[in-house]
Amino acid sequence: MRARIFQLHKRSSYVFEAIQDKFAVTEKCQIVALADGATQGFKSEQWASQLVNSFVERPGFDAKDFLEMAHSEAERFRAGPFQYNANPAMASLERTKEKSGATSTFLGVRFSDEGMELISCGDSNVFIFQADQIVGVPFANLDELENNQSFLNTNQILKGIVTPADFFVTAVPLKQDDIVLICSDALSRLLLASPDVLRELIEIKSFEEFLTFCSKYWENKSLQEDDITAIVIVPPVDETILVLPTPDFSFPQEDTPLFTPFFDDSLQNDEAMQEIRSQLFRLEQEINVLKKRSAYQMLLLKLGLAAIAVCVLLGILVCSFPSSVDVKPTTSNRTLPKRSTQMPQAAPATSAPLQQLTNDPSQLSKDSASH
Amino acid sequence: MYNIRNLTISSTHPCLIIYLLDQSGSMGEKFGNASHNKAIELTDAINDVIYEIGLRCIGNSGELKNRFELAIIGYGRNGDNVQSGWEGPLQNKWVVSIKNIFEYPLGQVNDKPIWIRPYAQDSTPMVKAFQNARRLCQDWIDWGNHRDCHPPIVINITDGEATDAGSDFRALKIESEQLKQLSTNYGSVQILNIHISNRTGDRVLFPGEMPTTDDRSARLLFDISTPLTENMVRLAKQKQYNITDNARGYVFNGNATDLINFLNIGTPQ
Repeated sequence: MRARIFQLHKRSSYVFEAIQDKFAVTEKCQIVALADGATQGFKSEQWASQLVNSFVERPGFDAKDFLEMAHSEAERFRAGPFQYNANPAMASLERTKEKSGATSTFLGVRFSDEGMELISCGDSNVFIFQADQIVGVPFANLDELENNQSFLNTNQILKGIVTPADFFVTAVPLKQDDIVLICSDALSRLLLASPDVLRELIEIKSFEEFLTFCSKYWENKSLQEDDITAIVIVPPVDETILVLPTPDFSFPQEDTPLFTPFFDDSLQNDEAMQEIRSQLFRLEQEINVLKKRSAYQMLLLKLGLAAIAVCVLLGILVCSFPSSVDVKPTTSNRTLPKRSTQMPQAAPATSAPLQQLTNDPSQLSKDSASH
Repeated sequence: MYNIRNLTISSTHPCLIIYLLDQSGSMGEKFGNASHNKAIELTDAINDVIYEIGLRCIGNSGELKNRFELAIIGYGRNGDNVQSGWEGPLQNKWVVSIKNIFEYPLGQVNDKPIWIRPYAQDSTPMVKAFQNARRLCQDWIDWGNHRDCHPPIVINITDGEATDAGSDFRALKIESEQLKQLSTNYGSVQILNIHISNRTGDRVLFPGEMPTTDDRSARLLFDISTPLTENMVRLAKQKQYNITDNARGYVFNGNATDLINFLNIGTPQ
């Protein structure tokens, strides 16, 4: 029988080297170890590697024995040394993160003729596909997995905060032709929510098929965007096949431009808006002034043209009257009355004065206001 | 609507958090029994939470993953205006990725970077701050693949009542309702409010119902707060808060510890 080990890194990591799921197996998969380094920890992928490699060399299915092994590994991890970022703000983050230690989950399995032994701390899970049913160990349903808060942190191990109570240890009998599937948390969540997907998963043979499988469930949002590990074992194992991304495989790096709000930064407060409104109002007023001026100038032009036209008409009329009138001389002694040499006095005003035409803006403003 | 349990906040699916910071004159008053004022307490808390977010985003090889984008809107620092709270090289930016935030801190204090400074000056144009937040949320949701991301979270920190909301606070209610209408495929925008105070008693922490109170502003801020999400309830319980299923993202008369916890609860894991 064969064991197939499938791994695919999360899309946001782009390259396989960044995967934080670490595994180790002995020949013929008698011992299998899977650890999922937590991003929140300091160099957690390194810690996860230490755990799985040490476990397959020195497997312990007693929680106390496991903790002894983990304790010595945590001391080795803490000894470092580590290099820090040149950016002071980033270096500060790294030093702070280092103080909180590295964090990982862990799941170890040993196969024998009697069945399977399991030791676990964290949210990885084992699924046993038995003919007509699927059994999840240690988590039988999604709520149990979600409520699990256990993990292996280097600092907490060294301080003795992690105890055997944080581990799940059990033995499970296996039947011939049972298929065992060991998964990290993202895939475990999918299989607990939709157990039938396991039937699809165990049929996968190649990396391309696995990539298609993961991509499909990532796209429909039923699989978390996380590292995916699936170790499919039909014991007893004669051959172990690694199904991993090829060295040249990477997810495309999306060149997503940084978000920029659509609205204009300068329009975010009343003062700026009021200034702009004021400027618009002044502009509107000036346009009105120009319009008025233009209107009056047009009126003047029309009046002038009208006056000219009247004069021309009058001239035409005068010219068209008869040129002389017969006037008989008289000898009477009547004399013609003398013409007065005084100008007649102006008649008293009896109507309002003519409106003055002006281009005084203040007058125009008053006019426009009255309109 | 997608199941938010299956959502991982990542650099390809970031989360937007908007902090609305009260920078009005009353923030110059002492904070509880502390020797410093509320503005300083608030600034320290915001600088700390930004640092905490950075810790969550740092990757294996020491690089920062742009899982979060942050906006800081200050209101009351300059009359009835609101403005971006970022300073230095980030000045006038509205939304900044966590990577850029750590590339351009304002300075370092005790070996830790800081980004904002305390202000306590004028009135409290909270409505305007919420208006800005709404426009930012709308633009962010419409950008790229953000409809497939965690819905934005708006966290308002204040010590008083809005001065631009009218006598019945109608303008703020309308603005908050419009904000709650915005959503991504994983849910609606969340609004959390914390009232910080210089009083030492009668704290109201994540209530499901608001206790009877004469404080109209407290009542209002409770009303406009959205219910805590499943994740927030879990975090709040971890921090020993007594939480009911219908708990709202609201704290009244919160102290310094409440402020920090509130900010951390409001940051998705």
